[in-house]
Amino acid sequence: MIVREVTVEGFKCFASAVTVSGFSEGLNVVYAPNGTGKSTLFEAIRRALIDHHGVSGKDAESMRPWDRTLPPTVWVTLDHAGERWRVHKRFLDAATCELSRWDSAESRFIAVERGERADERVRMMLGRTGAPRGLSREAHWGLAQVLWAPQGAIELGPLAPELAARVRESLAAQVVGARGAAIEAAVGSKYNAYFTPATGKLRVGKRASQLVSLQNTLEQARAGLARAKENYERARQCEARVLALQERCAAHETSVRESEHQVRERERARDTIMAQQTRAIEASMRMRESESALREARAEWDTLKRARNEIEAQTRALDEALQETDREQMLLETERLSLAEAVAREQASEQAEEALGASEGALARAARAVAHHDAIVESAQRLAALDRAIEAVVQSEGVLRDTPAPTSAVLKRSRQLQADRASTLAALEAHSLTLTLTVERAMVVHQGAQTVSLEAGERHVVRAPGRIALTLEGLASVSVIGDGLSDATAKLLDKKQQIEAIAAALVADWGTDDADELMALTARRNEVERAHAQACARRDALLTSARREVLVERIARAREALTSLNMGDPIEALAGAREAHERVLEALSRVGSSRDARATRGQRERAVQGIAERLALSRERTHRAKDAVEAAQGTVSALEARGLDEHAALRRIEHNELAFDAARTAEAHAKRALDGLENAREEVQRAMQRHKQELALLQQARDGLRTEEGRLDELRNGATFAVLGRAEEELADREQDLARQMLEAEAIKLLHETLTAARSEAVARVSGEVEREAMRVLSALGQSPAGTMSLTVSEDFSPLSVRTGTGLAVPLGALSGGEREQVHFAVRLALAAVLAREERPMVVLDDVLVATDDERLTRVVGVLEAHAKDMQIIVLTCHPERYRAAIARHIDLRAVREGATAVTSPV
Amino acid sequence: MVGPMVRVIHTADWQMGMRAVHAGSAAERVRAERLDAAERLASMVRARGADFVLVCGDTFEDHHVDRALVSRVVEILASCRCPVYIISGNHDPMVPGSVWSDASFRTAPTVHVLREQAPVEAPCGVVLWPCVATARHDENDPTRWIVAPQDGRLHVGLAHGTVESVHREEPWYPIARDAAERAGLHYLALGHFHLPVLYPDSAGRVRMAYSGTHEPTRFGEKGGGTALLVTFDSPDKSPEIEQLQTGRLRWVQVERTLRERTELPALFAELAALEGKDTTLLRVRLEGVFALDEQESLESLAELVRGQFLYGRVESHLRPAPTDARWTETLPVGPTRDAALKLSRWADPECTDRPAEIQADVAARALLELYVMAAETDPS
Ligand SMILES: [Mn+2]
Repeated sequence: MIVREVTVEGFKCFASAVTVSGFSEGLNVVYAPNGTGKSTLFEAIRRALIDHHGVSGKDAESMRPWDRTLPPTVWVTLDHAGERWRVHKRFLDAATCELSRWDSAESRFIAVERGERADERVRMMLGRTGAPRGLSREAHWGLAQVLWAPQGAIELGPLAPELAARVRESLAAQVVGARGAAIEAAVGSKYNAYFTPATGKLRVGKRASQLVSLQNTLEQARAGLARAKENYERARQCEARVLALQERCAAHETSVRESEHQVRERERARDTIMAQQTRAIEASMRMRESESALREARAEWDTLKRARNEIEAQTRALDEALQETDREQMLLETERLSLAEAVAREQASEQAEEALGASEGALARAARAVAHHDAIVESAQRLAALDRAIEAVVQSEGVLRDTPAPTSAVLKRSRQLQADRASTLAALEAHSLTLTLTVERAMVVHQGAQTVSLEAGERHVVRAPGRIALTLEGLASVSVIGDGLSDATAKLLDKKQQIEAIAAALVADWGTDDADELMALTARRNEVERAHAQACARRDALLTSARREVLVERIARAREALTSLNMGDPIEALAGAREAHERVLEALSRVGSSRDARATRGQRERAVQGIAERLALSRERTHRAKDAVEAAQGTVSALEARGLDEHAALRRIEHNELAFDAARTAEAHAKRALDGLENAREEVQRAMQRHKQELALLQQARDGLRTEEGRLDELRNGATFAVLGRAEEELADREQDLARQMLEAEAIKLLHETLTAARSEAVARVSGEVEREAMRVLSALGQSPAGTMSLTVSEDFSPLSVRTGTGLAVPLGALSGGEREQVHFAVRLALAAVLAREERPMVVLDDVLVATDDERLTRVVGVLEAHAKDMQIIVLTCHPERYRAAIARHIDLRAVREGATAVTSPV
Repeated sequence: MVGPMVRVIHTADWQMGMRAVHAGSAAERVRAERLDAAERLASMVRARGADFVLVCGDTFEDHHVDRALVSRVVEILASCRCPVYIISGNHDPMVPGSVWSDASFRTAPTVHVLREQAPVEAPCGVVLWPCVATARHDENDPTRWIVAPQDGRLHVGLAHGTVESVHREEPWYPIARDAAERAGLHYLALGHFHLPVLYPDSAGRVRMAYSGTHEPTRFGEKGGGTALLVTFDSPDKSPEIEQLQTGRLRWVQVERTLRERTELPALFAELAALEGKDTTLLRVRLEGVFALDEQESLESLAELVRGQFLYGRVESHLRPAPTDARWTETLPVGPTRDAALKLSRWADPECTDRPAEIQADVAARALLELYVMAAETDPS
């Protein structure tokens, strides 16, 4: 839609008619100072194109000029769909609306619609929006909400949902196209016949499709089949039960036969037991008889056995007594021999003890001789030692005489001399002269008796107390005199002479004047004296133990005693005596002591006496045993005389024992059998009971079988299989029908969904296009280099956030005022651009971009110029200088109002 | 003693009261036809002057069939006007309270239900050896017990079972291939397998045979609808066997894979030309591809099959031909064409990007719907 001309009369500040014309289909700048009526003009256009002509109320009344009662009237001339139209709307008083089309043949507008239909048709031209609902809310503007920005309100508020949908529809319609829409509609209506659009579920209730009733029928068929199956199963189970019951009857019949047999068996067993009673009584009697016979036989057997045992025992005792007598006799002989031996040993002991006394005497004499001999040897040794000590003393006395020693006075004198000499020489030195002579050529120098040969250049030093006199041979005599020889020097020289005299004396006496050497002489003397003293002490010690004469006398006495013993070599004699003594001791140890031998002899004598007594006792026992044997033999002989022997007795015992045992076993057996009688009776009772039970069970099974057979017969009346078969057939039939219908429904659903999805994708692509277009605008405004940012719009195309090159999404609220209004501006232009593909739209910007600086605004103008190629843009502004450079139709509203030529165009 | 000639009618597997899920709406008719076929058989028995009839098991589909049906069957059997000997089969085993205890059997003195495994005297001095099935399943050879003496008499066995696994669905009651020979029978009349089969012995003489069901039971049963007239001249000679046609229904199964546009009209012509449509049950299974504009031909084929045959059903697994891509180009650019391309891809059973919950058949059908709607909105 392109606006070409607007005439306003009686509308707010436009009291008298004003016509603004010359709008281009591209960019138009309508400028005027504030209060000239720019926004009123815009309102007039809006009301003419959107509002219902019959609006009333306070809002409508505001259209009226302050001082007039004229009805507000607007004429808008516009191009739409290749034709020129005029809308004429009068509000409030005799409100009308008329839409006329330019007839080029008649060269005039011809009315085509009037009233509400005209209102509606105009709105449709604007953007296919429905019935007018008043202008108070932008949400009622339809597409104009997007395309027209009121004064200072560039921000695109949240679009009314229906508008957003309509925008989308509009966008989608472009994508889908007319034929596509027709197909979609056809698919939609077929889909709606099956499904509820809101839930996507099959329709139910009044508008339900045939599918639902088929499903219901199928469900019924299924239920019918389930019932039929159940009945058939019941019949089959009944059949199985009948079979099982029949088998059970057979089994019970077998059991009944078995239990009957058991009863007969038990009765036989009971009768057998009852026959045992008589047998028990007979056996008991037999038992008593054999018991008394057994007792008798055992008594006889015992008597005989006792007599036999007595004979045997006494015969054994007799044998033992005889043997013992023999043993004791032999022992007596042995003991007697031992006694004689003991007497002989006693005599031998006494002789050995006598020999021991003699050998001990000889041993003592030999020992004395050895002692004398030892004393001689010892005394002779000591005498020799004494003589050696005396000789040592004599020698040491000689050494002492040969070793003199200076006295302590001499030593003192030598020490004094040493000290004096040193001090005197030092004093003399202090009084000395020193002459240093250095010769230039070889020369002989004489100094007293001393002659020195000097080489050329050699130095010669002379030092002397008081005066030096020397001669340089062949050259000169030199005499150097100090202060003159002083008295002190003279004294010192005297003293030196004295000292040298004393020294000469000492040397003459002791060979030296050195104090240390003299001290050494004294030490040597002391040593010799000590050695002498030691020799004397040793001699004196020997003399103290025995004087020399005593030793000589002692030796003489011992020699005399030894001679008196007359024994030859005393050592050998002692060895012989010892050997003889050893032999005697050995002999004595062999025979033992006489005391022991005496004791042994006493013991033997007592043993001989004891054995003699025991022998007498055993002879007596022998006699007694002989008597007892004879008595027992008498008893046996008496019994045998009566014809009784062990064999016969034993046979009788065995016989009666066997008879007793047999009787007892028979009785026990019979009694035991009788014990089981009660049990056997009970067994009979039990078997009968069981038999009765089995009979009852059989009866029960038979009754059951009869009942089940009756039931089965009844069930067969129901022909459950036939019913089941028909139910299955019906279900299969229904399933086929449903499957056919279902396939169609599913296919429609799939088609619908696929189509809807494809459509959503296409519309989504349109949204993307709006975003991309808006970004291009923003880039052109210098907001960002192209491609480094992206913009996201919401479902209703209002801008949501800007994503920077770093990928960070910045919400719109976080942008500066200028940036924000530019983003909205960009989105409006982008939407207009997308819609422009359908038909050239009219965009109105009423003093927007108030927060945008001049520099940026220059770019805005560029953007508007570019977009003006596809749409009509009307900029209303009070800052004409801002758009002065724009390639646009410039309309000076004030000039128009003042009747001047107002439209200028740079083109 | 054996007369000069003995004529025996051998039949089996009447399966009376059979359910026919696969026959859809014609199920009742299928059941009724089995009675008709039995009546035809009875009239043949009378016409041929048979000495007696052998019914070899599965006379009834189940014990719990309609009592009226049982009475009707007994009536038909009695109408043979000669002795009829029946053994039970795996579907109607001899158990207490079974269909065999039905009172109607007591009203027909010529109808003999053989209830025990013991030789029975039949007319003309023939000895019958009935193998009575007493359970629904059994894995033992039912003819094991038979030891027919070589006494100059004619020995004929009756058994219901599976010879060498001829019956794959119900392989019960296995019967040895040489059962007749081993048992010393001159003839062993068999039931259970629904087609007639003759088994020659080692000497090339037929001594054992299946008569086949008297009326076919289902699709895929290629044959049946028969009974056998067995004529014995003497015990030393092999019997003469004549196959009698008793059945009337035809169960036809057509399976086609379509590739060319000409095939669908050809199939239509072929089916339209079939004779005896009112006694034919027809199942057509189509696979392969078809052009979207052949939809109408497909519809008329389905109509023919459903409308003119006793029972007819078309199972179509056809999918739109890939060449229909040209058709999608006639659609407006945008969602409609996108959707058409997508559905066309999904309609291919071998498509790899089809979501798991979508079936190729449904996609094919959806494409077809789109085709129809697009045609309705076509401006040209
Ligand atoms: Mn069978």
